[in-house]
Amino acid sequence: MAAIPIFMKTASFLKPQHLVPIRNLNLRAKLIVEGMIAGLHKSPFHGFSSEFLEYRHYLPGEAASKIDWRKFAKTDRTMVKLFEDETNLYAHILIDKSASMGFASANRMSKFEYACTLGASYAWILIRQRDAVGVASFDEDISLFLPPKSTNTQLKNIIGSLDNLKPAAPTNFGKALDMMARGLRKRGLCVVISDLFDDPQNIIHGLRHLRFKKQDIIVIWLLDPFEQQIDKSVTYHFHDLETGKTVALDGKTASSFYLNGLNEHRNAVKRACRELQIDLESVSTDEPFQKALLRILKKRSRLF
Amino acid sequence: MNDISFFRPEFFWALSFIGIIIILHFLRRPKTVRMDFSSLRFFHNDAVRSNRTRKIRKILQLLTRLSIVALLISLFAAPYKNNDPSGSLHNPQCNVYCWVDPTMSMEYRQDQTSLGQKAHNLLDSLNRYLPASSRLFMYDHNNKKFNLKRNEFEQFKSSYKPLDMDNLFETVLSDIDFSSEQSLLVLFSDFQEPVTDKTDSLLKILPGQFTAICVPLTPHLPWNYSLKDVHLANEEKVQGTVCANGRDLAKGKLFCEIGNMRTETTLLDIKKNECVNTQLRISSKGNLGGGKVVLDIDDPLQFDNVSFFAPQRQQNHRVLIVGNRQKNSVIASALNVSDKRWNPVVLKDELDVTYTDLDSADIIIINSVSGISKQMDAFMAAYSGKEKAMIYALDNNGRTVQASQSGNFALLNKVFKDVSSGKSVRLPTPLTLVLPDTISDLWKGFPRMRSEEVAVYGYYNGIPGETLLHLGNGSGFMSQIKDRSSRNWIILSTPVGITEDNNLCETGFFVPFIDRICRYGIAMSSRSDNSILTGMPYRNPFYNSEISASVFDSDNRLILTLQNQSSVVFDQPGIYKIAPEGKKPYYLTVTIDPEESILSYRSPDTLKNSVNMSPDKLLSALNSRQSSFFWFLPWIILFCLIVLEVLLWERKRA
Repeated sequence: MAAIPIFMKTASFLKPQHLVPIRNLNLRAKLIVEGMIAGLHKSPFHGFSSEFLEYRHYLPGEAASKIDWRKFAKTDRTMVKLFEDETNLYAHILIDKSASMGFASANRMSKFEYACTLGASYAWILIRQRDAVGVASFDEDISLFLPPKSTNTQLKNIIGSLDNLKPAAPTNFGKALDMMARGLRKRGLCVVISDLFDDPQNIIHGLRHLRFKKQDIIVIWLLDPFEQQIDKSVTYHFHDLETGKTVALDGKTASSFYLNGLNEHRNAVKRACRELQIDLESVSTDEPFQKALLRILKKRSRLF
Repeated sequence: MNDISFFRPEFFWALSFIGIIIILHFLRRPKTVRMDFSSLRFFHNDAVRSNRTRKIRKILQLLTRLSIVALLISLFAAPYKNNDPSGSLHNPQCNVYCWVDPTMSMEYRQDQTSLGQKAHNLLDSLNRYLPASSRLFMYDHNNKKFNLKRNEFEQFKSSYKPLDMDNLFETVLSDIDFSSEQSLLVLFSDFQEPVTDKTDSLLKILPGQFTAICVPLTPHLPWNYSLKDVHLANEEKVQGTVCANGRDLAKGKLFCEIGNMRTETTLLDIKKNECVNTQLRISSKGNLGGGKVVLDIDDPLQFDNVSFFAPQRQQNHRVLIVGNRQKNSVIASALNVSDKRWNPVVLKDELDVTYTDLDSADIIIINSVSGISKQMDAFMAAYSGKEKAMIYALDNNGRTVQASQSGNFALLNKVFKDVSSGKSVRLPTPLTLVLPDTISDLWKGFPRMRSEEVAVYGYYNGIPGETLLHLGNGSGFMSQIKDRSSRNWIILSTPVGITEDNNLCETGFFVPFIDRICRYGIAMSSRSDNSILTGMPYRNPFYNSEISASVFDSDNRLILTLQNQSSVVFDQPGIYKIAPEGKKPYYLTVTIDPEESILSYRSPDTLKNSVNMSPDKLLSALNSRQSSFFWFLPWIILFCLIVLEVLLWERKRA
């Protein structure tokens, strides 16, 4: 295990570049989460899990084992005792592992690494709250799926799985989220971490399907700082990581067209998210993890 | 582009800025980075097209900037057209040489101002508007050189002299530096035909790239009344011709003045472009010293409204006999005894004769010469007048013909070409002379048509021209011909004087014959004995005669003494009294060249190496250089380039 640099302990927020030398995702997540203020995330369901909820009448055809015989003994009525779920929350963390997520500028952490670190940290927080967390990664398809569980083993599994992932293949956001939605039975929370470099209609289609499955959705739109501000003083020969195409553009043209396109894209996604009541958070890969996490957790607190 | 030059070409050093701009352009070019990028979805075809457009725009911007700098430098270098001398007027280093036609025709008054004065006014404008560092020179007709023009108003002073551009030619060639483009010759004249002809000659000898500006001051619809050919018709009447050019003459008063007394006045009505001969009565009791006839009418040109006359007088004619002096002595004797007017008669060997001898003679007899001397040939090459009588006797053995045709001094080739077609004839039996008549002016008074006593043994057969006297066999003995320079020649087919070829000098035919051919020669020549032109050299009739004469003007003031000068010049028109020592005085009329009153103009448009600029055009060229499109064009281009440059700027989008 690599030694923890001193500046990490003193810094109020750990910047992503400080974590680049730490290859161990588990350690990264631990550093991030333990550095945060404890108890900031107050679960609205805490203390109520496995608790009695109410009685209802037994319905014919139901299993006789569900009848509360004690209540029958007291009241001579066949009642069924209802309980809260065993866990507070079913959360799915969906991480985009398309080739575009492998982009990193100026020796920064790549979007994929950032997404994995952010996802692992969030999973850590949730599992510590005994929420069930699952992880899925997708590109054109779902390539990894761990169903939600609230055990410590699940956290190990999540971190281990994310560690083994490598960004590749083009994105098909709609198709991947479609497939994901089909497998969901319970309402829960979906945290989608992606650069959203796909057709807006495709993205909206996938999100809509998830929303249909009664999922609360947080979309973390992860962008490299370069992707938000292209240097105009340079002429570029761009090579597309997903399609392999190349194009030569001067900085001004590239910046102008890219920013225009990105703004349009952002507006389309934002509009759809507002309609679908989805939280959209833009996160830059040079933003400290804690800061990004706090923003997400605050959103959650507002939500409930 | 060869047509464009620059006043300040040193500014082109600044073109190195163009190099700096190019270097800066390439230095500022952004570096190229190869990058794996997450998505090119936002860089669609428009971006590529836009990128290409931007590249073209940048190239255009560079070219525009270079053009702006080049154009600005060109403007600072002050371009002008080579073939537009008016551009040179704005050259700060330009030397402008001006010549104003000084002849009397420039006194033509239009709008109360003479043409000459207009020329001077233009010169003042020129002096005022020329760049401060350029210099304006004006031709001084008296000192025959260009002087720097002073900044003061100058009155036009015409000269009575005929047009003399030869001195201008010499001065122009010596004073103007043709190698630089900073010299400009400006000619102000009314451009009468002779002026235009001579200007043409001048411009032809100037170097090819040199262009002069001709400013024609030719009057619009010129008109003039003139008086000419005034002379005494007889002792009681004076005769003259009055012409009305361009306009009708109505009630023109013509009178004659002798001394201070007006003799007769007459009124004239003449139609447009017609001339009328008129006579005025004079009362010449006693000695008539001459007088003047005045046409009293208002017209633009006044100098030709006065004409002088003086009584004709018998005048001596100087005879020069060139050739063997011994053989020619009989000719001199014959002239001396025949008439007193042949005085002096000078005998000169062809090798001893001088240019002055030839030039001062009224009659030149070339007889018994062994060849043509250099002096004679040079004289014949230079002399083109019609005032002299030239008598040339050929040698029957053809020696003179041969000599005349050989070498560089081929006199006869210059005189006529077909003499060589003739041949020498030697006769065993002599021929007599046959006169064509005895009543014509030439042969009037001769007793017989055939002179039996004359025997001709040898002659040159085939003399050219109109035969005046025949030999017995019909061959020509004497003929008259004009050479290609329109000089009159009398050609004899055999020598006169002492010779083996004939016995002419031993006969009674000889003296009247010699006298008559000299008279005929004088009559053929167009000289007028007692009327000369102002400014033209007048041959001194007393040259080499050891006689001196006093010359008095009309106020009886002594103005000069004629001694041994070959010629004198009279500057003022009028009547002059010549009083030779011990002889009766006589009178000369000195008049202004009548050609000056001929309103015949030829525009200098077609002249080579010249630009014709009317006074208005010259003034507008001086006043506003901006009027020329050539001046505007670079500024228009510069403006367009700056606009283009601004349009090419990239605007920051909000």
